[in-house]
Amino acid sequence: MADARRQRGPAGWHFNMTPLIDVTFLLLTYFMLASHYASAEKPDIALPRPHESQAQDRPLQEKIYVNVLYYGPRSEPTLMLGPVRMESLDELRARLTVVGRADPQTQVVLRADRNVRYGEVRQVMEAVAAANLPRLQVVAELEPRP
Amino acid sequence: MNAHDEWQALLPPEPAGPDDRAGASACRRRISFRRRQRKIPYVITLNLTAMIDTIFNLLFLFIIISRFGAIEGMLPARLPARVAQAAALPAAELPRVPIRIRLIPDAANPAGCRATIDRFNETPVELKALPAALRRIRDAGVGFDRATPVHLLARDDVAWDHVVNAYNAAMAAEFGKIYFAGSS
Repeated sequence: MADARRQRGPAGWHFNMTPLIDVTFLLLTYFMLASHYASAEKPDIALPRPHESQAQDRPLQEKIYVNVLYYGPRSEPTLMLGPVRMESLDELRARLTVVGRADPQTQVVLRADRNVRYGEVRQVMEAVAAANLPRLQVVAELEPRP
Repeated sequence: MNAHDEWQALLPPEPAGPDDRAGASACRRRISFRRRQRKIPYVITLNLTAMIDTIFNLLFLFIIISRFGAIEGMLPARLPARVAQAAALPAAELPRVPIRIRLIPDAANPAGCRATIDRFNETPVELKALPAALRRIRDAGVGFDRATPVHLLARDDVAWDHVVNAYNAAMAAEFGKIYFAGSS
């Protein structure tokens, strides 16, 4: 009887952490593999959603993001060059001109909200063209996989 | 006799005095026995706390920076026609007659949009039907092919979504030179 008590060791209780660690590792692996990461250059906006989208997720070497954010029909869209918010279209023009002088092969990635009016996006595209940046990429949603 | 008494009975007796060598020896055995009794079984355990902390930190990081929205892609585009055409057209190449797509707001649906194609589809069609209409023009053998420039003309108040949709339709019809032109 005494031997049995010694073998049992001191009385106590503890949590079994193994399932918790297993689940946590699974969640971590899922998020690492399946997620697309947010960045200051790519704010969350409602992108155009074309039928049978021909858009492709292709890597670009030298690129700069131009974002056109929509805050309703009564307010002006907000312009962003990379992570920096532009106060006006003129400021965007000036900064794009600097980029165009430094490297005309820079790809301009245009991310405009689907609700923005074409007239406003056209002004941005004209600013890109005037800055001698002929390589433009329009961002749209990809075709959902079946 | 309870368990404690049983355990005490196993121990050697206490020494009777300072000259009791046998008793002293028994006492040493007794002390040694008690030390053995006090010895806790040695168990190797890993301290997982630091690892679990790190894993949870990583998990929170990935949860926070992940985006669950739609995946985005890119459509290679050409600049507004009056600037891009002049820059892109080689001097020896004769200008070709372009296909002009005009986007007009849908009268029946304020949020919708319809398209006409100059000389071919004067009756507005839905944007979903645009790729098929453009393919018919391309395959009709009337001088239009994949190299024919396509101009997109939209009113300034048309939503960007519709313009991209029309652009995408021209790409789906395998036209290679698609331009965002001025307002229609």
